[in-house]
Amino acid sequence: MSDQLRTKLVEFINSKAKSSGKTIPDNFDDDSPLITSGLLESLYLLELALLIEEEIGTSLDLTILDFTTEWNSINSIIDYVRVQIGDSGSKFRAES
Amino acid sequence: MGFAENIEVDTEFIDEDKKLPLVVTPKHSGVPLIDFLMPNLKELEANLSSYGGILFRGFQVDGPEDFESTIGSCYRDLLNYNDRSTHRSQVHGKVYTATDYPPELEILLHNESSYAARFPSRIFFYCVEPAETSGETPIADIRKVYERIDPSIRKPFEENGVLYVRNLAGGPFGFTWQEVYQTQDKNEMERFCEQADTQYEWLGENKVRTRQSRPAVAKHPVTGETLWLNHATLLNVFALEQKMQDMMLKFFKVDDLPNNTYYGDGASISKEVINELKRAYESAAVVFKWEPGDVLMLDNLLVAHGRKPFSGSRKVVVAMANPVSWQELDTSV
Repeated sequence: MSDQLRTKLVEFINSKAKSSGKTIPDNFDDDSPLITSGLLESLYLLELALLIEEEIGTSLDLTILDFTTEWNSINSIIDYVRVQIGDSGSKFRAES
Repeated sequence: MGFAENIEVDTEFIDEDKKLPLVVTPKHSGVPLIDFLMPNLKELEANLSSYGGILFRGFQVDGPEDFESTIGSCYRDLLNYNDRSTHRSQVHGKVYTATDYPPELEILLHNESSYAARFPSRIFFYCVEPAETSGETPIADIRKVYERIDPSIRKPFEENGVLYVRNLAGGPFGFTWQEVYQTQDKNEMERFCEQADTQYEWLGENKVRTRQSRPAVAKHPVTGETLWLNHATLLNVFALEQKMQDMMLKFFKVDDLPNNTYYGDGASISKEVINELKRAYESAAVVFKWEPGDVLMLDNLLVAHGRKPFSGSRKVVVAMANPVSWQELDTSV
C-alpha cells in the first residue's frame, strides 16, 4: 500500500508545485515539510484530502485534523493513512 | 487633458467604450514617474474621479522601493495590510505582493477590503515582471456594475447590506486570527474588532468566528454616483470554481466555511444570484496586458480589480492609501 500511496503523493506534490510555480528542493525527501515550508499551498489540501479518502475508502473530518503535524510530510501522511486503515475510529465520520 | 506642460505626454484609453483605464505615456523616455505625478496630482485626481483608473506606462520606476517612495510622496497615508482576506507578503515598507493566491486560480473582481470598517480609497499596482501567460489584473467600473445588476437582485442588498462571516480556525483552509489581525495578542485582536464594528465569537482556543455587517452600496464622495461596493460575490462560497466549491461544501458545514457572505439579515444568497453578480462584473470588465514598469492607479471606490490565472513567475506589487471608513460614506439608497 505505502509504495503505491507514496507514488501518488509524489505525483500530486510535483503537479501542485509545478502549477503554483514552486521548485521542489534538491534535498527533498519523504520527511521534508510540505505545509510548514509553503511547498504545498493550503488550498491544495482539499484535493489531497480527496486523494487520501480514496485511499482509505471513508470520509474524513478535516475539522479535527492538525494538518501541520499529521500531513506535513510524505511519511507523516503514509503513517496517518496506516493508522486510519487499522483504526477507523475517531478521525472518521459517517457518510451523511 | 490639462496636465502641466513640463512633461509632454500622450493619453488614450485601453477601452474607448468603457473609458477605462486612461493611459498616460511620456513622449520621451527616462522620465521618472514622480516628476510627472507631483505637479499633476490635482488634474490626475480629477481624471480619477471621472474614469476611475489611470495607467502610467513608459515612465521610470526603479523597483518596489522607488514605487513606494513615489506613491508615498503624493499620498502620505500609505496603509498597512490589516484585517486581511488574502495572503500577501511584504515586499518593502508598505508595498506588498498583490496576492499569494495559487496562480492557476482566478481572483474575481472586488474592491479592496470593502468588507472592512475602514479601507483604502486609492490602490496602486506596479508591474515588476509580467507573467509568461495571462496574469492580467482585470478592472471594472462599479458604477456600471451597479447598473448591470437587475434591480430585483439589488434590492435586498440595498435594504439590508451584506453580512460577512469568517471562521478563523487556523489550519490550512482559512486564515488564523493572528494572520488576519497581524497580532499574537487576543486582547489586541478583540480591541481591533470592537473598534472595527466586527462581532467575534471564540469557538475554541484558536478558533474564532467573526461577523461584519456592511452596506452593499454607497454614493461616491466626489461624484455622488451610486456604487456597487462590497465583497458579497468574492467571499461567497458559490463564487468559487466548481471543483473548489464542491470540495469546500463536502468538507465544511456551511457555518464553518472559512468565508461566506449573506444578506445583511442573515438570509442565504443563492448560487443564481451570485452567478448574476459575477456576470455583471464580467460585463463591465476591461482586461489589458501588463508591461514591465506599468503603474496602475485606481480609485478603489470606483473601480474593482481581480487577477487572471497565470503561468510562470509574475511580480505585481501593491500599495494602498487614503483610507475611508463606511461611516464617512453616504450609503442611503
